[in-house]
Amino acid sequence: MPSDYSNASDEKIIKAVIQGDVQAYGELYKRYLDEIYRYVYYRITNHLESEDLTQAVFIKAWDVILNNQPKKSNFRALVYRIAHNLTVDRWRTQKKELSFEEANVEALPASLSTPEDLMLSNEESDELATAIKELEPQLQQVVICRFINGLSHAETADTLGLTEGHVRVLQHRALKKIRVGIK
Amino acid sequence: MNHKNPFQEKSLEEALANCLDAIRQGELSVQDCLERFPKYQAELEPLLNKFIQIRSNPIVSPRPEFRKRGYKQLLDHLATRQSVTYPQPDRNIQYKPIPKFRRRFSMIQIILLAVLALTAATGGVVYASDAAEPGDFLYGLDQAIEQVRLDLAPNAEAAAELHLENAAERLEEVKGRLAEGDFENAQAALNSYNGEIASLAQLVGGPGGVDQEILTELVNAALGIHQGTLTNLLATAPEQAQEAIQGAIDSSNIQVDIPGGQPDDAGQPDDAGQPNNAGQPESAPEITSIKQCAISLSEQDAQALAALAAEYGIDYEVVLETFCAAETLQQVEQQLLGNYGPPDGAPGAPDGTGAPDGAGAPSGSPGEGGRP
Repeated sequence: MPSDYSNASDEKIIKAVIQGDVQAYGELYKRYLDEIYRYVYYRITNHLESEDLTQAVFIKAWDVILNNQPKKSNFRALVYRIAHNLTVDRWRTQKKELSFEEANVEALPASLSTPEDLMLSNEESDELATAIKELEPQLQQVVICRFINGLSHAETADTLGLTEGHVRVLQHRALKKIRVGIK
Repeated sequence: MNHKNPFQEKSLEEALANCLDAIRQGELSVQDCLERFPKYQAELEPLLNKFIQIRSNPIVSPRPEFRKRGYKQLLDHLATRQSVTYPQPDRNIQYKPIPKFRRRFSMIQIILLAVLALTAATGGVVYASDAAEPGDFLYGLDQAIEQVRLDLAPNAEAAAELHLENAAERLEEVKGRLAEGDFENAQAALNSYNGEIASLAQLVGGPGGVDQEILTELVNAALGIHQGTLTNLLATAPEQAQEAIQGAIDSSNIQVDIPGGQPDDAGQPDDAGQPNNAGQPESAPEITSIKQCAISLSEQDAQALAALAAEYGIDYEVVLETFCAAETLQQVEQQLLGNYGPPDGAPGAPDGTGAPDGAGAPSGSPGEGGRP
């Protein structure tokens, strides 16, 4: 009978994953699917791509765990870091090739709106969504990590490959711009 | 001790950040925050409300069907990946020679993988490889990862395994793209396939201490399967794709005869046991077979020989044999020129003045050394 990991800590689950327990990894997937999806989605603005990229994040994380077999591991930081790297890669790929949006915008089902569309449809958050969208990418990332996905300074720093101090500086700068932007 | 109150003497940005953290953690309500920062109240309130609104946007979450399907797909995928291990680059570690029986076992596993992969191509089994296909936005990443894996391959055998894995994946992509009627990307995948096979051939025929016998066994088995798959594809592919597929078949046909990889290579009559072998200093061992000669080739020489083979339109094996019997590339070029005439398409070939690029002039003075 498969073990129930629903109440187990991430660390305990990772020990099981290192032994090749796929079901244990499924629990981690359930735990972090929503926030990783949200992180990816706010950065690439497309449901289908976000789904693919989210899957890629969890596959990559599995490989990292099995290949490195860490004794201590912050899974949340790991998947955010991978999500960050994959979205950066995705942007680079897009720059080289024809813009995905340009190529696919007409093929997208009407129901799949962009986050801006979704957020802009909400009067309460429209200005904020626009202000975040207009931030430079790094500031955007900090705001999404810190205030939308609720990562700590340390987790954000880990995800973006920055120091905590740098995150605080960027956070301050981003909020200032947002404040000015929605005035 | 002076404890700093996090809610005092803050800028608006700091106040906003502190409030958002505290609200998220359930420590404070919006109202509590506004009371803590009365001087920012007017500006803080709408900002906090907007952030909370975005945070709780239920639309930005995975679709239910993806949640269900993605979970199952992920677990199925990972179950197939368990047996696949990537070569791990170890820093500052000298690789110990692996006992031959272990390598052979590993190769057999790889052959089985190749068979499985190509069976998948015809049998509809999902090939346990990355799902990205040409044209997908993840495809570039997929290719980059493949390149990194190749760069990290600890030895030529591991690299050969990866090239075979990649080649099988390219064929999967060809099949998938053709099924979609996406000829352009099918063509790109076929080109990549040819590139993988060319790299593989270089590895097998080139330097690096490769076990030629085992690699030949592996490559012949895998390429035989590739040819079967390609032939099947050729029979059903649309006309515009047929030329490219035929090219890939030719490519795999050519490479089946792996230079230096024949089991009986060691028995070449002219290279076994030179009488003066015993007297050679250990640092300069006599080349006793084509196989050993191939193994002792520098990468530069191997590339130059491959270039010559391409220029003269002859098998690499022939050029290699010539090289192993000669002393310099210059001599090889002269011999090839004498045997085959100027290479086709070489500038000024008829009058012998057109030197093939990068490989030295066929008409150059003998004995000058033809190393690139």
